[in-house]
Amino acid sequence: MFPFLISSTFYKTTRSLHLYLGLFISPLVLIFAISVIVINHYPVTLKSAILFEEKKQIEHVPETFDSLDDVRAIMKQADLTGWVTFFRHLEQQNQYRFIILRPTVRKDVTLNLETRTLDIKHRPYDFMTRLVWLHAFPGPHTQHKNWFFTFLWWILADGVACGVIFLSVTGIYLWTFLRAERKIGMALITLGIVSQALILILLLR
Amino acid sequence: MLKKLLTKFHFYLGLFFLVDLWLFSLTGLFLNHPDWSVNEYRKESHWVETTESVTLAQSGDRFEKANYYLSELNLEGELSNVQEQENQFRFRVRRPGNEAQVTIHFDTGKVQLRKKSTDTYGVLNTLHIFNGMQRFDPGKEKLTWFATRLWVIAMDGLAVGLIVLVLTGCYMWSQTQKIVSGAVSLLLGLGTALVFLFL
Repeated sequence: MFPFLISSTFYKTTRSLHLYLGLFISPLVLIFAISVIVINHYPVTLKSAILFEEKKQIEHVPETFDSLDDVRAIMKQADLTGWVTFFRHLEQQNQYRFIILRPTVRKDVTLNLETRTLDIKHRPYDFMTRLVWLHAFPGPHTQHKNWFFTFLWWILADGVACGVIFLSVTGIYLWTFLRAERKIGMALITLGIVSQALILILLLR
Repeated sequence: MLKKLLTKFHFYLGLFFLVDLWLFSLTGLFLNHPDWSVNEYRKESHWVETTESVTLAQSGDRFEKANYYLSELNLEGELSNVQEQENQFRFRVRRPGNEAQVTIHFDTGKVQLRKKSTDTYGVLNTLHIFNGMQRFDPGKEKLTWFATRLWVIAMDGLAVGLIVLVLTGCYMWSQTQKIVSGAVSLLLGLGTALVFLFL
Protein backbone atom coordinates (compact mmCIF):
# COMPACT_ATOMS: atom_id res chain seq x y z
CA MET A 1 0.00 0.00 0.00
CA PHE A 2 2.81 2.39 0.91
CA PRO A 3 5.91 1.02 -0.89
CA PHE A 4 8.16 3.73 0.59
CA LEU A 5 7.64 2.15 4.02
CA ILE A 6 9.69 -0.88 3.06
CA SER A 7 12.36 1.02 1.15
CA SER A 8 15.88 0.80 2.54
CA THR A 9 16.25 4.61 2.59
CA PHE A 10 13.10 5.12 4.67
CA TYR A 11 14.13 2.36 7.07
CA LYS A 12 17.63 3.81 7.56
CA THR A 13 16.31 7.36 7.98
CA THR A 14 13.73 6.20 10.55
CA ARG A 15 16.40 4.25 12.43
CA SER A 16 18.71 7.28 12.54
CA LEU A 17 15.91 9.58 13.68
CA HIS A 18 14.95 7.07 16.39
CA LEU A 19 18.56 6.98 17.57
CA TYR A 20 19.35 10.71 17.52
CA LEU A 21 16.01 11.93 18.88
CA GLY A 22 16.10 9.20 21.51
CA LEU A 23 19.58 10.26 22.63
CA PHE A 24 18.63 13.94 22.71
CA ILE A 25 15.52 13.50 24.84
CA SER A 26 17.02 10.78 27.09
CA PRO A 27 18.15 13.18 29.87
CA LEU A 28 14.81 15.01 29.75
CA VAL A 29 12.91 11.70 29.87
CA LEU A 30 15.01 10.79 32.93
CA ILE A 31 13.90 14.02 34.64
CA PHE A 32 10.25 13.12 34.06
CA ALA A 33 10.70 9.42 34.96
CA ILE A 34 12.69 9.91 38.19
CA SER A 35 10.38 12.70 39.33
CA VAL A 36 7.38 10.35 39.03
CA ILE A 37 8.92 8.09 41.69
CA VAL A 38 9.73 11.14 43.85
CA ILE A 39 6.18 12.52 43.52
CA ASN A 40 4.64 9.14 44.34
CA HIS A 41 6.75 8.30 47.38
CA TYR A 42 8.39 11.32 48.99
CA PRO A 43 6.62 14.26 50.60
CA VAL A 44 7.85 17.24 48.64
CA THR A 45 6.80 20.81 49.29
CA LEU A 46 7.33 23.60 46.81
CA LYS A 47 7.30 26.04 49.75
CA SER A 48 10.64 24.96 51.19
CA ALA A 49 12.27 26.30 54.36
CA ILE A 50 13.86 29.76 54.38
CA LEU A 51 17.66 29.50 54.10
CA PHE A 52 18.40 33.21 54.47
CA GLU A 53 16.87 36.66 54.17
CA GLU A 54 18.31 39.51 52.19
CA LYS A 55 17.51 43.22 52.07
CA LYS A 56 17.89 45.41 49.00
CA GLN A 57 17.20 49.07 48.43
CA ILE A 58 15.54 50.28 45.23
CA GLU A 59 15.50 53.78 43.78
CA HIS A 60 12.09 54.03 42.13
CA VAL A 61 8.77 52.63 43.28
CA PRO A 62 6.24 52.12 40.45
CA GLU A 63 3.22 54.42 40.40
CA THR A 64 0.77 51.53 40.01
CA PHE A 65 0.77 47.99 41.35
CA ASP A 66 -1.72 46.19 39.17
CA SER A 67 0.34 44.64 36.42
CA LEU A 68 3.28 42.36 35.88
CA ASP A 69 5.22 45.26 34.37
CA ASP A 70 5.27 46.91 37.81
CA VAL A 71 6.81 43.76 39.29
CA ARG A 72 9.30 43.61 36.44
CA ALA A 73 10.33 47.23 37.09
CA ILE A 74 11.08 46.39 40.72
CA MET A 75 12.88 43.14 39.83
CA LYS A 76 15.10 44.93 37.32
CA GLN A 77 16.29 47.41 39.97
CA ALA A 78 17.04 44.61 42.43
CA ASP A 79 18.68 42.39 39.79
CA LEU A 80 16.12 39.63 40.28
CA THR A 81 15.03 37.21 37.56
CA GLY A 82 12.56 34.36 37.44
CA TRP A 83 8.96 33.40 36.95
CA VAL A 84 6.49 35.63 38.82
CA THR A 85 3.58 33.53 40.06
CA PHE A 86 1.92 35.92 42.50
CA PHE A 87 1.80 39.67 43.18
CA ARG A 88 -0.40 41.74 45.47
CA HIS A 89 -0.51 45.29 46.81
CA LEU A 90 -1.31 45.25 50.54
CA GLU A 91 -2.53 48.77 51.07
CA GLN A 92 -3.05 48.52 54.84
CA GLN A 93 0.49 47.31 55.46
CA ASN A 94 1.85 49.67 52.78
CA GLN A 95 3.59 46.72 51.19
CA TYR A 96 3.82 45.07 47.81
CA ARG A 97 4.42 41.31 47.77
CA PHE A 98 5.35 38.93 45.01
CA ILE A 99 6.77 35.43 44.56
CA ILE A 100 9.52 34.50 42.11
CA LEU A 101 10.05 30.87 41.17
CA ARG A 102 13.03 29.19 39.55
CA PRO A 103 13.74 25.43 39.43
CA THR A 104 16.42 25.91 42.11
CA VAL A 105 14.81 28.46 44.44
CA ARG A 106 11.63 30.21 45.49
CA LYS A 107 11.95 33.86 46.52
CA ASP A 108 9.23 35.54 48.59
CA VAL A 109 9.67 39.27 48.10
CA THR A 110 8.11 42.06 50.18
CA LEU A 111 8.60 45.69 49.19
CA ASN A 112 8.16 48.22 51.97
CA LEU A 113 6.71 51.14 50.06
CA GLU A 114 7.68 53.69 52.71
CA THR A 115 11.36 52.78 52.97
CA ARG A 116 11.66 51.33 49.41
CA THR A 117 13.36 48.31 50.93
CA LEU A 118 12.97 44.84 49.50
CA ASP A 119 12.91 41.96 51.96
CA ILE A 120 13.78 38.77 50.03
CA LYS A 121 13.31 35.35 51.62
CA HIS A 122 15.34 32.67 49.83
CA ARG A 123 13.81 29.19 49.88
CA PRO A 124 16.19 26.93 47.93
CA TYR A 125 15.04 23.60 46.49
CA ASP A 126 16.96 20.36 46.92
CA PHE A 127 17.66 18.18 43.88
CA MET A 128 14.55 16.00 44.28
CA THR A 129 12.29 19.06 44.56
CA ARG A 130 13.86 20.51 41.41
CA LEU A 131 12.88 17.33 39.54
CA VAL A 132 9.32 17.63 40.86
CA TRP A 133 9.26 21.34 39.99
CA LEU A 134 10.26 20.60 36.41
CA HIS A 135 7.66 17.83 36.16
CA ALA A 136 4.84 19.92 37.63
CA PHE A 137 5.57 23.20 35.82
CA PRO A 138 4.42 23.87 33.24
CA GLY A 139 1.04 22.34 33.79
CA PRO A 140 -2.63 23.18 34.09
CA HIS A 141 -1.92 26.06 36.49
CA THR A 142 0.78 27.68 34.38
CA GLN A 143 -1.04 30.08 32.13
CA HIS A 144 1.29 33.02 32.65
CA LYS A 145 4.67 32.05 31.30
CA ASN A 146 6.18 35.42 32.07
CA TRP A 147 9.79 34.24 32.13
CA PHE A 148 11.68 33.14 29.04
CA PHE A 149 12.88 29.89 30.68
CA THR A 150 9.34 28.94 31.80
CA PHE A 151 8.24 29.38 28.21
CA LEU A 152 11.23 27.37 26.94
CA TRP A 153 10.58 24.55 29.42
CA TRP A 154 6.91 24.53 28.37
CA ILE A 155 8.00 24.02 24.74
CA LEU A 156 10.52 21.35 25.79
CA ALA A 157 7.92 19.48 27.86
CA ASP A 158 5.67 19.39 24.80
CA GLY A 159 8.66 18.26 22.77
CA VAL A 160 9.37 15.41 25.18
CA ALA A 161 5.72 14.23 25.04
CA CYS A 162 5.67 14.39 21.21
CA GLY A 163 9.16 12.87 21.09
CA VAL A 164 8.10 9.87 23.19
CA ILE A 165 5.10 9.30 20.89
CA PHE A 166 7.37 9.60 17.84
CA LEU A 167 9.91 7.18 19.34
CA SER A 168 7.21 4.62 20.13
CA VAL A 169 5.76 4.85 16.59
CA THR A 170 9.18 4.55 14.94
CA GLY A 171 10.02 1.76 17.41
CA ILE A 172 6.95 -0.18 16.25
CA TYR A 173 7.98 0.42 12.64
CA LEU A 174 11.51 -0.90 13.28
CA TRP A 175 10.13 -3.88 15.22
CA THR A 176 7.94 -4.96 12.27
CA PHE A 177 11.12 -5.69 10.29
CA LEU A 178 12.17 -8.31 12.87
CA ARG A 179 10.00 -11.17 11.66
CA ALA A 180 11.23 -13.61 14.32
CA GLU A 181 10.12 -11.24 17.10
CA ARG A 182 6.63 -10.45 15.85
CA LYS A 183 4.78 -13.05 17.92
CA ILE A 184 6.51 -12.16 21.18
CA GLY A 185 6.06 -8.46 20.41
CA MET A 186 2.35 -8.88 19.76
CA ALA A 187 2.03 -10.89 22.96
CA LEU A 188 3.74 -8.12 24.93
CA ILE A 189 1.57 -5.38 23.42
CA THR A 190 -1.51 -7.46 24.32
CA LEU A 191 -0.18 -8.11 27.82
CA GLY A 192 0.43 -4.37 28.29
CA ILE A 193 -3.08 -3.50 27.10
CA VAL A 194 -4.76 -6.21 29.20
CA SER A 195 -2.88 -5.39 32.43
CA GLN A 196 -3.61 -1.70 31.93
CA ALA A 197 -7.27 -2.42 31.19
CA LEU A 198 -7.62 -4.48 34.38
CA ILE A 199 -6.29 -1.65 36.54
CA LEU A 200 -8.49 0.87 34.72
CA ILE A 201 -11.55 -1.32 35.31
CA LEU A 202 -10.77 -1.29 39.03
CA LEU A 203 -10.26 2.48 39.01
CA LEU A 204 -13.29 3.40 36.94
CA ARG A 205 -15.96 0.74 37.62
CA MET B 1 25.33 -11.89 23.31
CA LEU B 2 24.76 -8.95 25.70
CA LYS B 3 24.03 -6.67 22.75
CA LYS B 4 21.41 -9.08 21.38
CA LEU B 5 19.86 -9.54 24.83
CA LEU B 6 19.63 -5.81 25.61
CA THR B 7 18.36 -4.98 22.12
CA LYS B 8 15.51 -7.48 22.58
CA PHE B 9 14.85 -6.19 26.10
CA HIS B 10 14.74 -2.60 24.76
CA PHE B 11 11.98 -3.19 22.27
CA TYR B 12 10.10 -5.75 24.41
CA LEU B 13 9.91 -3.17 27.17
CA GLY B 14 8.84 -0.43 24.72
CA LEU B 15 6.08 -2.65 23.33
CA PHE B 16 4.83 -3.67 26.78
CA PHE B 17 4.60 -0.04 27.94
CA LEU B 18 3.23 1.24 24.62
CA VAL B 19 -0.27 2.10 25.90
CA ASP B 20 1.08 3.73 29.06
CA LEU B 21 3.57 5.79 27.05
CA TRP B 22 0.82 7.12 24.81
CA LEU B 23 -1.55 7.73 27.72
CA PHE B 24 0.97 9.74 29.76
CA SER B 25 2.41 11.58 26.74
CA LEU B 26 -1.00 12.63 25.44
CA THR B 27 -2.34 13.64 28.86
CA GLY B 28 0.96 15.45 29.49
CA LEU B 29 0.20 17.52 26.39
CA PHE B 30 -3.40 18.07 27.50
CA LEU B 31 -2.32 19.25 30.96
CA ASN B 32 0.29 21.48 29.42
CA HIS B 33 -2.37 23.32 27.39
CA PRO B 34 -5.27 24.35 29.64
CA ASP B 35 -6.75 26.38 26.78
CA TRP B 36 -7.28 23.34 24.50
CA SER B 37 -10.89 22.23 23.99
CA VAL B 38 -10.13 18.85 25.62
CA ASN B 39 -9.90 20.75 28.92
CA GLU B 40 -13.40 22.23 28.65
CA TYR B 41 -14.56 19.83 31.37
CA ARG B 42 -12.83 22.06 33.94
CA LYS B 43 -15.41 24.76 33.26
CA GLU B 44 -18.34 22.46 32.61
CA SER B 45 -18.24 20.11 35.60
CA HIS B 46 -20.16 21.41 38.61
CA TRP B 47 -20.79 20.25 42.14
CA VAL B 48 -24.16 18.59 42.74
CA GLU B 49 -25.27 18.66 46.37
CA THR B 50 -27.58 16.16 48.08
CA THR B 51 -28.48 15.32 51.67
CA GLU B 52 -28.58 11.78 53.05
CA SER B 53 -28.86 10.05 56.40
CA VAL B 54 -26.34 7.73 57.97
CA THR B 55 -25.80 5.82 61.21
CA LEU B 56 -22.85 7.42 62.97
CA ALA B 57 -19.62 5.46 63.32
CA GLN B 58 -18.97 4.53 66.95
CA SER B 59 -15.30 3.57 67.00
CA GLY B 60 -12.05 3.48 65.03
CA ASP B 61 -9.51 6.05 63.93
CA ARG B 62 -10.50 8.75 61.43
CA PHE B 63 -9.61 6.63 58.39
CA GLU B 64 -11.56 3.61 59.69
CA LYS B 65 -14.55 5.88 60.28
CA ALA B 66 -14.20 7.41 56.81
CA ASN B 67 -14.10 3.92 55.27
CA TYR B 68 -17.24 3.01 57.21
CA TYR B 69 -19.05 6.09 55.84
CA LEU B 70 -17.82 5.28 52.32
CA SER B 71 -19.48 1.86 52.44
CA GLU B 72 -22.65 3.34 53.99
CA LEU B 73 -22.87 5.90 51.20
CA ASN B 74 -21.87 3.46 48.43
CA LEU B 75 -18.83 5.50 47.52
CA GLU B 76 -15.44 4.23 46.47
CA GLY B 77 -12.12 5.95 45.93
CA GLU B 78 -9.01 7.41 47.54
CA LEU B 79 -9.60 9.30 50.78
CA SER B 80 -8.07 12.68 51.49
CA ASN B 81 -8.53 15.62 53.88
CA VAL B 82 -10.13 13.37 56.53
CA GLN B 83 -10.98 15.66 59.47
CA GLU B 84 -12.82 14.83 62.66
CA GLN B 85 -14.12 17.96 64.36
CA GLU B 86 -16.33 18.58 67.37
CA ASN B 87 -19.62 18.70 65.49
CA GLN B 88 -18.80 17.15 62.16
CA PHE B 89 -16.72 14.65 60.24
CA ARG B 90 -15.41 15.65 56.81
CA PHE B 91 -13.50 13.96 54.05
CA ARG B 92 -12.96 13.89 50.30
CA VAL B 93 -12.98 10.83 48.12
CA ARG B 94 -11.52 10.84 44.63
CA ARG B 95 -11.31 8.47 41.71
CA PRO B 96 -10.54 9.33 38.08
CA GLY B 97 -13.56 11.18 36.75
CA ASN B 98 -15.40 11.46 40.07
CA GLU B 99 -14.91 13.40 43.24
CA ALA B 100 -17.07 13.71 46.36
CA GLN B 101 -16.92 15.94 49.43
CA VAL B 102 -18.67 14.43 52.44
CA THR B 103 -19.66 16.26 55.62
CA ILE B 104 -21.41 14.31 58.38
CA HIS B 105 -23.17 16.44 60.99
CA PHE B 106 -23.11 14.69 64.37
CA ASP B 107 -26.06 16.58 65.84
CA THR B 108 -28.53 15.67 63.06
CA GLY B 109 -26.93 12.50 61.61
CA LYS B 110 -27.37 14.10 58.19
CA VAL B 111 -24.77 13.80 55.47
CA GLN B 112 -24.07 16.69 53.16
CA LEU B 113 -22.79 15.08 49.94
CA ARG B 114 -21.27 17.10 47.11
CA LYS B 115 -20.38 15.21 43.94
CA LYS B 116 -18.63 16.20 40.75
CA SER B 117 -17.89 14.15 37.67
CA THR B 118 -15.98 14.87 34.47
CA ASP B 119 -15.97 13.65 30.87
CA THR B 120 -13.51 11.20 29.29
CA TYR B 121 -10.79 13.83 28.95
CA GLY B 122 -11.20 14.63 32.62
CA VAL B 123 -10.76 10.94 33.43
CA LEU B 124 -7.62 10.73 31.26
CA ASN B 125 -6.08 13.86 32.79
CA THR B 126 -6.84 12.63 36.31
CA LEU B 127 -5.09 9.33 35.52
CA HIS B 128 -1.93 11.37 34.81
CA ILE B 129 -1.92 12.87 38.31
CA PHE B 130 -3.80 10.26 40.37
CA ASN B 131 -1.37 9.11 43.07
CA GLY B 132 -3.32 9.60 46.30
CA MET B 133 -2.18 13.22 46.74
CA GLN B 134 -0.27 12.37 49.92
CA ARG B 135 1.75 15.55 49.88
CA PHE B 136 -1.39 17.65 50.39
CA ASP B 137 -2.51 15.58 53.38
CA PRO B 138 0.38 15.41 55.87
CA GLY B 139 -1.57 13.26 58.34
CA LYS B 140 -2.14 10.54 55.79
CA GLU B 141 0.50 7.85 56.08
CA LYS B 142 -0.60 5.39 53.40
CA LEU B 143 -2.92 5.06 50.43
CA THR B 144 -6.43 4.06 51.41
CA TRP B 145 -7.77 2.50 48.22
CA PHE B 146 -6.52 -0.73 46.64
CA ALA B 147 -6.94 0.60 43.08
CA THR B 148 -4.82 3.70 43.87
CA ARG B 149 -2.02 1.42 45.10
CA LEU B 150 -2.20 -0.57 41.87
CA TRP B 151 -2.16 2.60 39.79
CA VAL B 152 0.83 3.98 41.69
CA ILE B 153 2.64 0.67 41.05
CA ALA B 154 1.76 1.00 37.35
CA MET B 155 3.12 4.58 37.27
CA ASP B 156 6.29 3.52 39.11
CA GLY B 157 6.64 0.60 36.71
CA LEU B 158 6.42 2.91 33.73
CA ALA B 159 8.97 5.29 35.29
CA VAL B 160 11.43 2.44 35.92
CA GLY B 161 10.66 1.09 32.44
CA LEU B 162 11.54 4.47 30.90
CA ILE B 163 14.82 4.62 32.84
CA VAL B 164 15.71 1.11 31.61
CA LEU B 165 14.70 2.07 28.05
CA VAL B 166 17.06 5.06 28.22
CA LEU B 167 19.94 2.97 29.60
CA THR B 168 19.52 0.09 27.14
CA GLY B 169 19.12 2.62 24.32
CA CYS B 170 22.44 4.24 25.29
CA TYR B 171 24.11 0.81 25.36
CA MET B 172 22.72 -0.01 21.90
CA TRP B 173 24.05 3.31 20.59
CA SER B 174 27.50 2.55 22.06
CA GLN B 175 27.59 -0.59 19.89
CA THR B 176 26.99 1.35 16.64
CA GLN B 177 29.38 3.28 14.39
CA LYS B 178 27.58 6.55 15.16
CA ILE B 179 29.45 7.37 18.34
CA VAL B 180 30.38 10.98 17.57
CA SER B 181 27.07 12.10 16.06
CA GLY B 182 25.16 10.27 18.80
CA ALA B 183 27.33 11.90 21.47
CA VAL B 184 26.48 15.33 20.05
CA SER B 185 22.74 14.54 20.38
CA LEU B 186 23.13 13.15 23.88
CA LEU B 187 25.29 16.06 25.07
CA LEU B 188 22.82 18.58 23.65
CA GLY B 189 20.02 16.91 25.60
CA LEU B 190 22.16 16.59 28.72
CA GLY B 191 23.20 20.23 28.52
CA THR B 192 19.57 21.32 28.18
CA ALA B 193 18.53 19.21 31.17
CA LEU B 194 21.41 20.51 33.33
CA VAL B 195 20.65 24.14 32.46
CA PHE B 196 17.13 23.71 33.83
CA LEU B 197 18.20 21.68 36.86
CA PHE B 198 20.67 24.36 37.97
CA LEU B 199 18.84 27.46 36.75
